[in-house]
Amino acid sequence: MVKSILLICEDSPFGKNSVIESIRMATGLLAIGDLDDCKVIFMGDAVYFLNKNLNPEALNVDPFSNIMRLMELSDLEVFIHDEALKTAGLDSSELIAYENLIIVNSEKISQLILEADMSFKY
Amino acid sequence: MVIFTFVVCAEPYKFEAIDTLINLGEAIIKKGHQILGIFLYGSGVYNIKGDIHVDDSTRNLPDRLNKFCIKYNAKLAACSTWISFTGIQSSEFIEGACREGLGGLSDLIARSDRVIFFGPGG
Repeated sequence: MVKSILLICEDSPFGKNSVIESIRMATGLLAIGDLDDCKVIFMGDAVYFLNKNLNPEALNVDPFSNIMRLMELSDLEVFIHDEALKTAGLDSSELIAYENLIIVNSEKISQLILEADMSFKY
Repeated sequence: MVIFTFVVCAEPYKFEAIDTLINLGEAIIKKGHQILGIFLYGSGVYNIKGDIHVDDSTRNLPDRLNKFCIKYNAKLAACSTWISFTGIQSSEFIEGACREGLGGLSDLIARSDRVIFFGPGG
């Protein structure tokens, strides 16, 4: 039976709501408790979501505070692809302060995918 | 026997997720496995609408999906949040289909050996 899930998201937080939905789904599944583990990996443009200087209101987009709060309350483990971070021109000091935020390389991502019972790209 | 759950995140006709799901489902069952349920998520919830109008030359996807679920006793559920976003009324649902929260998805996943996602996410 499936007991662990890995959600992979690589879309920008603007123009598509995949980032929000991947967190909503992950935190929801964790909260229900049927599954042992649920993790999220941000790759590609999704890493912009974790930029502490992000200002969605400037684009008349709803603030991300609620989904961030949900992430914190559930202690969701969020992994960031190091290469995506580099491509985005960000470094770790520019990311939100979140205890379960882990920067990983491609090898670690492969390992996480292999370890999970199921994974899918959101 | 392997127990499968399908999650559909793509709307009908624009994408061929339901067509593939039905074809794959038939093949899976032919091999002696089971389809536990189908969970519609994101814009995939549009697949729950039963009262659509198609001409004679167009396949009736809700009808095909309905027959598939009845024939193989597969549960058909749609994400409650997304149903609310789309404004689809329960009176418009395919017969036997229901709306459920992430608890419904979690339950299906936890009771399945394999979960297959169709579509581009929320």
